[in-house]
Amino acid sequence: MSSSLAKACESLIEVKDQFEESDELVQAILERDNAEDLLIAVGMAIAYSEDAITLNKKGEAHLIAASKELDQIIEELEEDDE
Amino acid sequence: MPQGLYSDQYLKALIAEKPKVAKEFFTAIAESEYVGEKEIISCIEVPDWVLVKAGVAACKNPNFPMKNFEEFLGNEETLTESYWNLFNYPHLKKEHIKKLSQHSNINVRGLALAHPFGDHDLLLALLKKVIPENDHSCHVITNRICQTVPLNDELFAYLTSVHDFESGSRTIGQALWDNPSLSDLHKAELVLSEITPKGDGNSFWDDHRENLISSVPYFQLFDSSFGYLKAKFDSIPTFSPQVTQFFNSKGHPLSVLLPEESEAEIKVDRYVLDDLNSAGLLNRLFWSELCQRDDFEIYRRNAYRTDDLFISHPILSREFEEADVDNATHLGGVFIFDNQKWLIGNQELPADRAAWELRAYEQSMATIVEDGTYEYLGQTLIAMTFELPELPEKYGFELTEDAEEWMIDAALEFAEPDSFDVSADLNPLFREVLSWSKTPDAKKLVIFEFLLLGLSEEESKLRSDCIHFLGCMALHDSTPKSILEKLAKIKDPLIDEVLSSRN
Repeated sequence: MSSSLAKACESLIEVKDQFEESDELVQAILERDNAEDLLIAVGMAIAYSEDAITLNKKGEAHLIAASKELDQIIEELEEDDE
Repeated sequence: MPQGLYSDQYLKALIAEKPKVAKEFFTAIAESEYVGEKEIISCIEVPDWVLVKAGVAACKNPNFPMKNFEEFLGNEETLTESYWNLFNYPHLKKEHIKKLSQHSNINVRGLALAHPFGDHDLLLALLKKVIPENDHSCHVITNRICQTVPLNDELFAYLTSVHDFESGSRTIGQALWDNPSLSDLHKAELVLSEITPKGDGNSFWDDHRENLISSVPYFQLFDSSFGYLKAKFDSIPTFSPQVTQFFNSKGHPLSVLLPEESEAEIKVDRYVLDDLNSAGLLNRLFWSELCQRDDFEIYRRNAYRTDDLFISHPILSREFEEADVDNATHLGGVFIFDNQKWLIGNQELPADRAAWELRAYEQSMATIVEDGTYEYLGQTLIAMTFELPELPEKYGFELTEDAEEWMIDAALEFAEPDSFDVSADLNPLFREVLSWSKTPDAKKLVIFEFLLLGLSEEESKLRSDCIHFLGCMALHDSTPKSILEKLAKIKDPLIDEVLSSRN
């Protein structure tokens, strides 16, 4: 696994862990046009970490891109809080 | 006999004729967790020292010692938490009632004032204060006071004026109908005021009562299954064989199931038919051997809030198979599967049902997350591939061999019982002692008469059970010709069809 994919997976799983505590994060994701793609990516990261799925290049790219976008959403929420 | 109590003639005989064996019997009961169960505390032959072990619930039994009762009364916590039980004590004295009538707890006070020794003028004043305020902290108005207070005209007039007041799922008017002191004149007034008794929607099932205490050693001997009471029942030490030998010699109805000849006459009695039909004893008696036939097997079927255990047979199970799967437990011979010892059950959650449990039908991860369901997002992704087979290609992944099992494991955490594929069979390791073929002919006739007695019941689960077992009797190769002839005379369509199939 490439380091960028590993990092993306870790980040996506952390996002899922934050859902319980942050309704704002959930809402911010759901408001996105590509909410389904982002949430699928979260599910893929969890399933991948449990060896329930394998990824091809397209899958890897989807996770990395989704991770970046979710990081951006979290950052924006943090800025709003400040 | 006071309400809720019964006399067990077999136990009474044991106490009189074999006091030492009786003492051992009661010691076994008293040492077990079963001591607090209904059949123990409701039996008037049970001695005081056993009842004391049962605790406050046993206060309804007249043998409960006054000294221990007064200790309960003196304990404020017991009094305020268990007033329902304490006011069942048949030896309540005037001085008890006088003191309790001044208690700060409104329920205790209300019950004391409503007691035959209570001050009914004060009770009326209390009711006139509580009812208009709709004060539901007094839980005993409809479920106790109105049903038990000796009614005078003034009390009756007030209660009928507020007959609509509802508490504990019944109104005052409905509760008054259950009051044994209701005079014919009062009844006429209720009718004229269009105050009717509470219709009982569950009457079909309401014929259940506790077993005889003398049946308990037989249940142990037969290794019976007791559902939620299993742990308590299993805590009873093994009874001496002398106990059942004695009860057999007195013609105990459950001795009819033992393979040896009976020296005593076994009386057919409606009251003990329930004992015979309880704990699946008749099911075991007939089904275990009938399952050796090619056309007869155990059949378990689940549905919403139902896990029915019955049999499959071209005639005897037709009604069950055609019935609404959610509503067939009431049919004759059917019972709820609960891992009974004599059965062995299997259940598994198929992958497609697991996917459904994980809400794959939503076809949208966003919809699921919007509902606040985050715990199984990985497994939900796998589940969604069942509804959206194009998903893996679209997003660039493939399921591994472990994916399905991982998804099923998650769904097992919360899957509804009716999502499982279920099956059951006779437990090959269970040592079955009940056998229709080994039952002596004289006892077969007694069992026939018991079941015939059940047929005289109104529509009920018991009646339906009896028809089913008579049908089993008609099918079994070991049923004597004389009984087959009697079965034919019943003129029941199901039994007749089974009898015709024998030819």
